This record gives sequence, C-alpha cells and structure tokens, in this order.
Amino acid sequence: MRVAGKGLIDRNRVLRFTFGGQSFEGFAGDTLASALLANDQRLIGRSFKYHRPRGIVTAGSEEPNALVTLERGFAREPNSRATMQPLYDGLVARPQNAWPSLKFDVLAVNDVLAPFLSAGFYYKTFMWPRKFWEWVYEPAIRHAAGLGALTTRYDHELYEKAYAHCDVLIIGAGPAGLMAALTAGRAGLDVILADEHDQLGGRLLSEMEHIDGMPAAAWVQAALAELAGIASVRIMTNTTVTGAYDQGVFGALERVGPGLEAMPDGLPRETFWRIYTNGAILCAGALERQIAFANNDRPGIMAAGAMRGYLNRFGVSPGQRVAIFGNNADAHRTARDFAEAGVEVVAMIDSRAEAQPLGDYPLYTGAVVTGSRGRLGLKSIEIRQSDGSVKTIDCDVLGVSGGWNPSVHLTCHMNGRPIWDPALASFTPQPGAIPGLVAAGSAAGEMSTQGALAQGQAEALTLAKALGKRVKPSALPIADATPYEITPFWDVGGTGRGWLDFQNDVTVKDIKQAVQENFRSVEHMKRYTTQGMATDQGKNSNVAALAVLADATGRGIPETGTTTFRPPYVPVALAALGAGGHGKGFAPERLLTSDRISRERGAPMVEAGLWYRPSYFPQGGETHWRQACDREVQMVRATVGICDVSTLGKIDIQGPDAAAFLDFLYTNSFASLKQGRVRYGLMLREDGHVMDDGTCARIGAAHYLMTTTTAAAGQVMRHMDFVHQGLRPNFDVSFTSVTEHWAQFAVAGPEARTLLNGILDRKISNKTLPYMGCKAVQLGGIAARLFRISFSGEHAYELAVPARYGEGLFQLLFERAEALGGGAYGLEALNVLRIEKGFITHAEIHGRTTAFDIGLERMVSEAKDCIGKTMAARPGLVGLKRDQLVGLRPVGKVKQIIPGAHLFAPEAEAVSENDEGYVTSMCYSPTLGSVIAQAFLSDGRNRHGQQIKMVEHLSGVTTLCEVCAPVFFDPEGGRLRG
Amino acid sequence: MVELYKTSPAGEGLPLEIGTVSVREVQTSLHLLAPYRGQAVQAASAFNTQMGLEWPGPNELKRKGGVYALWFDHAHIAVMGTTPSGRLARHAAVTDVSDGWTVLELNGADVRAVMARITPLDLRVKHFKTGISQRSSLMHMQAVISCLSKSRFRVMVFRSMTQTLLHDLTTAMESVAARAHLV
Repeated sequence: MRVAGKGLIDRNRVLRFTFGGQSFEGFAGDTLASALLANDQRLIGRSFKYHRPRGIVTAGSEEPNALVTLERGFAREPNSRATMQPLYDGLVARPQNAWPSLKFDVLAVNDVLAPFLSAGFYYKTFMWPRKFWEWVYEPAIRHAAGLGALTTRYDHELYEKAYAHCDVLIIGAGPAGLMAALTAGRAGLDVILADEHDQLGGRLLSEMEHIDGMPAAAWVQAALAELAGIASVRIMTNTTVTGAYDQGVFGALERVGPGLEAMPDGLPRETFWRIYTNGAILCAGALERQIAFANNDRPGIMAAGAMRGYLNRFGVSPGQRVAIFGNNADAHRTARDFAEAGVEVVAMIDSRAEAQPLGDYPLYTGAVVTGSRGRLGLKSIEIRQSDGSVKTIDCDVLGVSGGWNPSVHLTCHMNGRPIWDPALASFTPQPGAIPGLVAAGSAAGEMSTQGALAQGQAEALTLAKALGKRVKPSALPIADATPYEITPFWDVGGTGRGWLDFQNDVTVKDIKQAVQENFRSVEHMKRYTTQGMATDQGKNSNVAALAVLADATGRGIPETGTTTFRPPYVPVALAALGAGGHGKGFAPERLLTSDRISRERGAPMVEAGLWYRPSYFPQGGETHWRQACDREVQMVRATVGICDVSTLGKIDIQGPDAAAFLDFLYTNSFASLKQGRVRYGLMLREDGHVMDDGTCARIGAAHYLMTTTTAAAGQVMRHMDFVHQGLRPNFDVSFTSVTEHWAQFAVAGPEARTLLNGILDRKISNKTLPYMGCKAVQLGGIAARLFRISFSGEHAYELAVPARYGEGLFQLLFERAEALGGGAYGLEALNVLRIEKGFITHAEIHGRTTAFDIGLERMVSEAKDCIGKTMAARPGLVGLKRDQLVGLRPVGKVKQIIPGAHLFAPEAEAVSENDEGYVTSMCYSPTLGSVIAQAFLSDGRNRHGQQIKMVEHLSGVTTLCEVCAPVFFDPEGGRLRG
Repeated sequence: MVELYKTSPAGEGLPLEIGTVSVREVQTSLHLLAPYRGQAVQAASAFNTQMGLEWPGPNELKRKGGVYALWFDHAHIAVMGTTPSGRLARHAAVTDVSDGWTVLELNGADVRAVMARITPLDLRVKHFKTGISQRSSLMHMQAVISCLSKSRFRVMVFRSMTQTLLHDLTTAMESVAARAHLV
C-alpha cells in the first residue's frame, strides 16, 4: 500500500502496467517491484526447485525471487529483476516458473515430495537403470529446470560494446561514491561514476537521514548538481560494473533506457563497456542477509533494509501489520521509520538480549522467529521469547536482518580472498587484491554514513595525489555516525525447513546433509547443494550458508572460507558480450572491385578468407553449378576467360638489398631474375615445410612485386616483417602491402592476347611480352601492369590497374571476352583449370608438406641459403616414405573421388595401419572427360601407373584409382608459351 | 583508345549524416614512405623541403593546407594530398597506395562517442588531440584513426572493407543518436 507523504516518486504521473495479465498503476519513479508492492501484489514468482510461492525480498540487483519476463512487442527479456526495472507506462511483465498460473502451479507438487528431493537426490536417485538417464531422467529434469525462457523468434534487439577511459572509476554512487566523485572531480581527475540503479544516491535515497543539516536525498541532489557541472566527471546510471580484470580494465553492463516507454530506433538494449582506468574505488555498499527459520521464504518476508527503502524512497509499505526480526541495531531503523510513518509495527524481535528500541514500537529482546504461516502470503509469525514462551503474532510483512555483508565481490575477481571481520560478522575486502582498486564505505566495512563519506573522500584524495594532483580536502559533510552493532545469529533451528538460498531452494538441512555425506569443503558443499548458483550467485545467502557449514563442521567461519567470486557480478546477456558480432558484424567483408557486376550477372559468392569471390557465372538454361563450371573451363581452353584475381597478396619490395632479402625468403634465386621478368617462387617456414608459393616480378633494379596466395597474404607479410626485423635487420629493404591498391584480372585462353591487344594503348606480342615476362602498359592513358603468367595452363596474362579503375576494367574485359566467345569465370572453373594443369593450392601446401613432397625439391637452390633449407633436409622430411604429390583417376565402376579420403593398397584392409596417403583436391575435368584428383601417396612418384584404393570412411565410398603424374593437361607447356 | 570509368570505395553510400555526426569520403593520393638505411635525415630534409612539414613521429599527424603526413607503422609514414618528389624517392622507398585505402572524415559533436563504440583507443580530448594519429582496431578491422580537431576525425581502412566500415559506423552513429532520447 502507498503511504501518504513518503517517497521520492512523482505522484502526479500515473503509469499503467500489467503483471501476469492483470492491470496495475504505479507512479513515475517507481520500480516494477515498488509498484507491485504498492498494489499489494506479494506473490511474484515460484521457486526454482520446489515451486514454492515467493515474493520480493530486496530492492536491488541481488534479488533472488522477483524474476519476471519483460515483454516489448516480440522481444522477451527473461529473468529481469523487478527490483531493477524502472516502471514505464505500458510495461508488460509476466511471472516465471509457474504453470498453469502463479497461484496454482502444478509443479508445486515438488514441495510435497521435498523429503525425496533433498540435496544431491538426483546423484543417487537417477543411477538406475543406467540407460534411463539419457532417455528419461535427463530430458525430464531439463524440462522442469530453468527459470525464464528466451523467445524462439530471432532476436532483433540491439546490443553494443563500447570503450571508456578515465583516471578513476567509482563503482557505486552512495555516500562513499558520491563523496569520492566530488573529491576526484574537484581535483580535476577524469571520473567515471557508475551505479547500477537509475537514480544515484544508493542508501541515501532509502534512509531518513540528514547530511549537513539537509535531508540525505536533498544532499544527493546537490552533489549531483555539482558533479554535472564538472566536465571531467562522467556519470553512468543503470551501469553495473561486472568484473575486474588485469591492468585497470573493468567490464560494465549498462542497461540502456530501461525506463523508456518506447525504444527509439538504433538504441541498444544493453551496452557492454570496457572501462580502462588508472584507479578504482569500490563503493558498492553492502547487502543485507537473512536469518534462517522455518518457512522464512513466504511472500511478505523481506530484507528489513529493503523494506525501509520501499517506504522511504517509494512511499510503499509492503504490508499493513509490520514485524521486524533482526540481530543488529540497523534493523531497528526499519521499525522506527514504519512507526513514524504511521504504519502499524506489531513487533520488533531482536535476538540480542541487550537491544534498545529506537522508537515507539513493541520490542521483544532475546527473542527469535521460529515459524510463519500463510501459503501465498505471510499471515502470521510464531516467536519464541527470551523466557522460552511461544507467541503467535499476526502480521502480513516481516523484515529480517541478519546483518550486512560488504559487497566484496569485485575485490575477489583476481582470486583474492576476503578477510573475516569478527566485529562486523562479515567478510571485508583484502587490500591490494585488485591492483589499483580500493574499497570505501560499507563495501569496506565502514557502515555509518559519516564513515562512508570520510572514506570516499580519503581514497579519492590518495588517488588524486598518486596521479600528480595537488588537492586540498574540502570540509567533510556532517552525517549520521551511529556505530553498527551486531551479534551474529544465523539459524533459529528447529524441525521445519529454514531457507538459506531462496533462488536455489537450499535449506539449512541441505547444508547439514552435505556435511554428513562428507562434502565439507565450502566448494564441495556449493556444488552438492547448488547453494550460491544461478542468477543471484547467492548474494543474500553465501555468508549465512557458510556460517551454517562452519557450525556443522565444527570449524570457524574464517577457516571455512568462501567460494570463489567470479565475474560477472550480475548476469550479462551473451548478446551483450558478443555485441555487434552477428550478421554483417560477424567479420569484415572484403569485396572485389568487380563485386557489383559479378552479382548483377548472378554469380553466387564464395568466401575465401574474408574475401567474397564469384563462384561461377550462370547463364540461361543452366540449373546446376557444374554446368556453368564446365562451360567456363571449356571457354578458357577454347577462347578466353577473365577472372578477378585481386585477392592474391601483392607486396611491393624496394631497396638495395631487395634481391638478397628475396633470396633469403625464397628457396630459389631472385637476384638472378632479370628486370621485366617474373619467376615462380617457393617459400618455406623455418621448420622446413612449405609456407606459400607465388610469383615475384622484378619491375626495377631494386624493385620487386611479390604475389602470395589469397590465404597466406597476411601470414607472408608477417613472416617478412619477422625475417627483416629479427633475422636480417642489416638488409636495406622496405616492403609494403599493395594488395588493395591494384585490381588485377586474369585473362586466359588462346584469345587472351587478342583481347588485350584490343584494349591496350600499345599492342603486345610474344616478343615484347614472352611467357613469364612483365611490363608497364597503358590502357586509355592509364598506367597499368601486365604480367604474362598463368594459373590455368593457357596462354594467359594478369592485368593490374589502380583499384579505382577495377570495376571499369572488369566491365570492359567482360564485354570484350564475350565478343570473342568467352566470358568471365569463377573460382570453381579456376580450380578445375589448375587441377588439370597440376598446379597446387593450400589444399596441397597445407602446412605439413615439404618441397620434396610436392616435387619441387630442385627449386631449393644449392647455391645459397634460405629460410627452412637446413630444417627441410632433416631425416624424415625427404625420402621414399614421404607422401608425394601424384595425380589420380578413377578406373573402376565407381568414379567418385573425395578430398580428404585416404589411400590404401587395392587388397589391403582400409585401416589406419595400412594408410598410404590421402586425396587433397578433385574435380570433374570437362577437358579430359573424367574425374581427376591430386593426392599425396607414399613413394608416389615411383608408383605412376599402379592402382590404389581410395576409401572415404564417412560416406563409405570406395574407388579404385590409377596413380599418374599430377599434370593432366599439356604437360609440355606449349599452350603457356604460345 | 578505351575509356575506363572510375569508382570510389564508398560510392553512393556517402555522404551520411546521423544525429550530430556526418561522414564524407576523402578522395586523396596516398603514398607510403620508408627511408633507406642511414638516410632518415636526408629523407626528412627532402620531405621538409617539399611539404614544409616535419617528418611525423610515432602517432603524429602533420598537416599543412591540403597535405597530410602521418605516422603509419614502425617503418612507414603516409603522405596524403601530394605526390612525393623524385628527390625524396632517392632517400626513401615510395609506394603509391592511393587506391588501397578508404579515407573517411567524421565530423560532429558526438564523433568521439561514435568512435568509442568501434575502437578501444583512449579518445578523451586531452589524450587524443589534434595531430594524433594511431593504428588501432576498428571493430574487426585494422585501421588508421587520426584526430583533425576536437570534433573531426579521419578513419582509414582497406578499400575492400569499405562496406563493413560503413555498416559499423552507421550502427554506432544510430546508437549514439538514439541516446538523445535518454536525456
């Protein structure tokens, strides 16, 4: 219910929303949780395992129970915490984990069966019969498990990643955080102040306190106004710092505009920030914990501090008859505030005998709550008084405070362990556990507002000085300095189920059972009972659970220790972590200058690394890629074909030592290459295996142009950098990638020269440009480069122009080729042409082959050294037993050859012991009218003419093949030179 | 004599304006210079004579009129807006890569917020100021990012990746522009 005169909400702005299909009203400034409580909606969801009715417990991101699914159009956001969701007009939320309805949930039968479903039950229960696990038990458990559900529709919601840099990151904008931000901002530091709520102020918004004589909330407004005027201060609301990483990097999740009624186009739902900072001050506050007693999980039983927050910040009383149960002085503030607000406080039950009242309310000292009633919402509690007498008290809300746990989580993200403070009965941060991060305020165990302000200021001053700023501290505001008094009390005991972990339905009994079964380590206990798992990661329950564990094992709490705190602090959607990485953002798309025309011609694209290359150019009547491919191959062999080969790496090499450098890189000599000539070169890795091959042209006395394969362009460039900087720094040579500067097209076929002579400003001939020659040419007055090289076995050229002319040249070549009866060919035909001619690609030089294996050992010059030469001569890398490059043709009934298939002697069993090689490439050759293939075969060069059996174990295909030379077409090379 | 038409990397995709930020394509010559061994001083002198500019040091961009010179990598600087002279080419390897890179200019109040979504560089005004040019990642691409003024940047990626750059920029610009609704 609403309480008149209380809260920071705007009662003039009414917002309408629905929960579970029922309509409600709230006010601007409400969260979904406060608005539901204002409407007396106590039942919010069902628990994970036993489907017990549950209500709102907290007012923050630690909320274990009030998880709802938010809906916006088709978008679904499951497991949204109602406590963190600002209310907006038209908000639609649905409860989770309940069927057919929240009030009547079929799976609540689990609660009746609870004696059979205790911790570890499924480890024991589902052992037999063994087969049932996979087919019966696991599917059934999986069906029942889980909290919210994602939509099965495509997620159109936007997520993004972003980067931010600062001098100091302040995590949390309560009293310590605000004071730290004011101090650091005044000192001129670049400050990021991040808070996970939409309103800054932390507990100051929830307490009836005064700072410097003004209400705390008014002091917050004044502080924010000052911060807004400091240009170097950046405030990030709705932003949870989720992890601390090396070198001052923090991850943070921003929920962008969670309170907007309509999401504008382009606005991401969440942004995952990487924040780089010199220092960080953790002012994340503290989380209130519960005390276990029988049935302490009913809707209406809450954290006492959260209850106070709902009253003071939102003007909401979660009930009409309020009871409080605590073991510390702070709990009394809740009783006091409710009493002063005119809400009936029926009992303040304090386990401490010496407790003193803060106001006018019935106080039961030395008493405990032993049980509760009310299936779908609290109706009464039973207390045991100090004299042992039992009393039932009617109430519809109970605030519980077992004390406060400093939010040490981030300080433990690099495996630091928190330190037990017996006076606080809590763990506090270990100083230095995260380099550059300090804690202040209640996150550091300083529970008073005055202390938090002082620590926030002190840590900011220390950091400012460390960063070279000369600052004078301003006067510290005067605030509440009441000390925190607590007497640890964890578990009332008794026979009923006392709940520790609400989200995972873990009870005190479960912990004790784990100990009985010898899961005594806190890590084992966690995994056995599931305490501390799921979306809240046990924020409310961890310390109480390990206190119970410590008691059950007879150890102290410090000896028992904590489980490991790991990022993220709150759940982070994978969509946010991987933001921008789907669709067009998955990887850069490298498009050829000919891309537009190729697509217009209907060419399907195939990815080659990041490049998109045309696979083939279909023509009318063709229904299968093979038809287009065969036609294109025959076209090149008969007339002329053009192909965009710009993807090949092109590296411009200059300098007096360019020739020596190339001689060191390549196995063969390039110092001896004449200007205007091109040579095929082979490059080895340092371990002696082939790294790449390609041509290299000498276009000046000290000027070369190297080409690499498309796949290895980056690798070769990196290799060259390494060789130059690491192995031959004395060489005066410079190189740079010009791959993107030149658009380069292959013109191949008997009519290639005819075509070129129709477009070049000066005609060429066999004399002016013989095979493996290169020259500068002009077409239309544009400087171009022409190389007479061939990857098809045909009389062929590669013509390169600056990329701005690439599309224009492709258009021109295409038209001229068609006029000669030719056309463009794609990657499929290119592959067939090269296999027919016996040329290799990275299918053959796949990283495990040597120059010897591919039959090019004679290219390793004896006259000079080169990278990989010595290592290539190692025993085992040469010799008859090596798998050597051969050609294959099918000779039996089966004509299918499959790359990746293995080779065996015809009579041998197809098992790995008899393996003699493998197929690397295959195609149907329209030129030869046969399937042909390239393969590596043990002692292959001596086995031409023999038969071998290809077996492809995946598809079960067996093909008898004849071994032959890898060059199927024009082995003499007459067509190249024609 | 044949006639070849020209295309620019971005083509009709630019100019673009979303929110406070506009993007246009800069069509400029681009040469990479690497001094030969022991000739850095002569190269810098010839460079200074021709351009009237100091040889840019690491992460620096120098500018005079329409000529821009910027540090490119450990071995190279890049010169935009003019062709290096023959004298300079005697002391440094000169490579024409004018068509190899897409050069975009981003201008507008929110330009740093846009860039913060696609590059990890520290873009705070006092750190990434006029005359800074750095190599960094831009989403999945390697890029050259230069600051021309508080609200004006140049971004360079390989020509073939232009459409991806435009996609990434548009997404970031739309996101930043949409945040105006949060105020």
